[in-house]
Amino acid sequence: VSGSSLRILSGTGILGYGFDPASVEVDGLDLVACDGGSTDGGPYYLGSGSGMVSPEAARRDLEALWGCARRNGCPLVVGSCGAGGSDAQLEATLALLEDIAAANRWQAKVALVRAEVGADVVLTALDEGRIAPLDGAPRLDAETVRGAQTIVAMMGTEPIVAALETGADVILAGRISDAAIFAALPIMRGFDAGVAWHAGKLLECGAACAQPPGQDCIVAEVETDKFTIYAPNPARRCTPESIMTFTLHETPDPFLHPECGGTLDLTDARAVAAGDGRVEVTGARFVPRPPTVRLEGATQVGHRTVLFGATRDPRLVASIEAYLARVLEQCHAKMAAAGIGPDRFDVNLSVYGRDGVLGPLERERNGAHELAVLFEVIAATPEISRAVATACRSPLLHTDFPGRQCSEGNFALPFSPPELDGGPAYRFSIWHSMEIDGPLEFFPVELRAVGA
Amino acid sequence: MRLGDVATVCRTKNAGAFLLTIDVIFDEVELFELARRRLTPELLGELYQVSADAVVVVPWEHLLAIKATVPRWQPAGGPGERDVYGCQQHAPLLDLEL
Repeated sequence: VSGSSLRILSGTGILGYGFDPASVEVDGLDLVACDGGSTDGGPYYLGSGSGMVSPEAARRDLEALWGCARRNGCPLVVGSCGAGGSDAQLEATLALLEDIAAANRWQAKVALVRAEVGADVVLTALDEGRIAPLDGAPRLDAETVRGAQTIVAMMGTEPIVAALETGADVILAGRISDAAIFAALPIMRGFDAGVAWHAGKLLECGAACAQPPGQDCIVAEVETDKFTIYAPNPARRCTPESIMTFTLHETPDPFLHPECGGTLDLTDARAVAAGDGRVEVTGARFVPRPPTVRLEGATQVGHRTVLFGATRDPRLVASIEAYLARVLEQCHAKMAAAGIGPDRFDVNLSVYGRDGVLGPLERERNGAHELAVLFEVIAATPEISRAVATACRSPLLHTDFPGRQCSEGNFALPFSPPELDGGPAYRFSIWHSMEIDGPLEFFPVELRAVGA
Repeated sequence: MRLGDVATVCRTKNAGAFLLTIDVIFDEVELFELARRRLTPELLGELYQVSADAVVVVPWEHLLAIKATVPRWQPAGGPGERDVYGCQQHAPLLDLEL
């Protein structure tokens, strides 16, 4: 171990979510890092290549964190760039970095670590029996692989270690395990992998593990057999409870966390208050196993149009189910008359005020006084999608119902036009593990000079 | 007594795109023990309309927490989705009598 401790600052939960500008006024840092993405927002970002946050927001955070890393003379690592960590999203983050470099006359050696995987690579692995479903996903077949818009593999720490070893100032990575973004440097410097991975787990969501939780920076000081975590913003404190509760988050098993190349075992992990809003954490172990990567793939399923409206009429509220069935019948009849059969589109209905949030899990049967209805149309083309939503609108407004008094229109529509374009729609089609030979060959490091 | 009246945390969230994970945390060991006996895979299967075999329940005594994980109704964020983040699926637990 070179040096007895390492100080790591995590910017915020996702690059672009923001933080208190004063929170990055931290000295003695060995690493500034930030998670750039997540699968939480659904398959759209991976499929489309769009970011989860605006480019303006991502640029603001990237500039402040890069400035912090430069003041400290330490590297900046951003992982799962642009939300999904695809090549297009990685390039978009690089473009922001180039823009910041030009504006500030900054120069940097930048390492790019790509995570996008070609269908051919996945098909070969499928043939060789190296692919298995994760979390109850269906078995993968060749057609699904060929049909996917974008496929990424989730890297662990090894490619980031390789990138750090080049002496890069800034490392931008594609899809990566959130914790690996932070764990790579301590592992490279010889610190215990269990301590490093556990620190990474807590750092990955920024100040979400503090009290009050929020979008802000968090710092960990990693030592030989423990780490200490605290929020640089004096308005936030870490407590053993806030730290351990956060360990439960987004994982099916609070004790065993599978990662690329090993399992983080938190069975014996303990957190104790260390004074001044700091918490000392010990006891994590990292148990190595042969390298596998999680594959994530998104497939386009069509184009989405949304129609939203609400009723305050008591008789319509009371008979909404039968009413909506008749609206859909009329929509189908109009589309059929235009030569567009029901196989070319789907209409999904949610009734808010009844069971919009829980769907079939809803047990509350006390009626609401107003109901909102959301029509989600998915169709093969944007034109058909819009046509179907438009064909729902007029029957939604004007279909007769028993005891109707409001004969000028049955639904309050908040927008003009009422049909909103939701763009291409995707689903997660690949959620599988793939055995690989070596993480370094699989995720090669590419160096670029920025601002030169 | 209702779980929703006595739990300090009652929350759900995606654990990846195919699973929904449930965390219920208490500040008294008696409440935790009551809930641990009540929150069986059979009961959670019924509330979340999945097979009891597909439900994993992991109590964590140190934290007075019970974590349960169930399959999602569909992979997160596809057509027909009602809760992309899976963060508002806790209500069926709130009315549960302990």
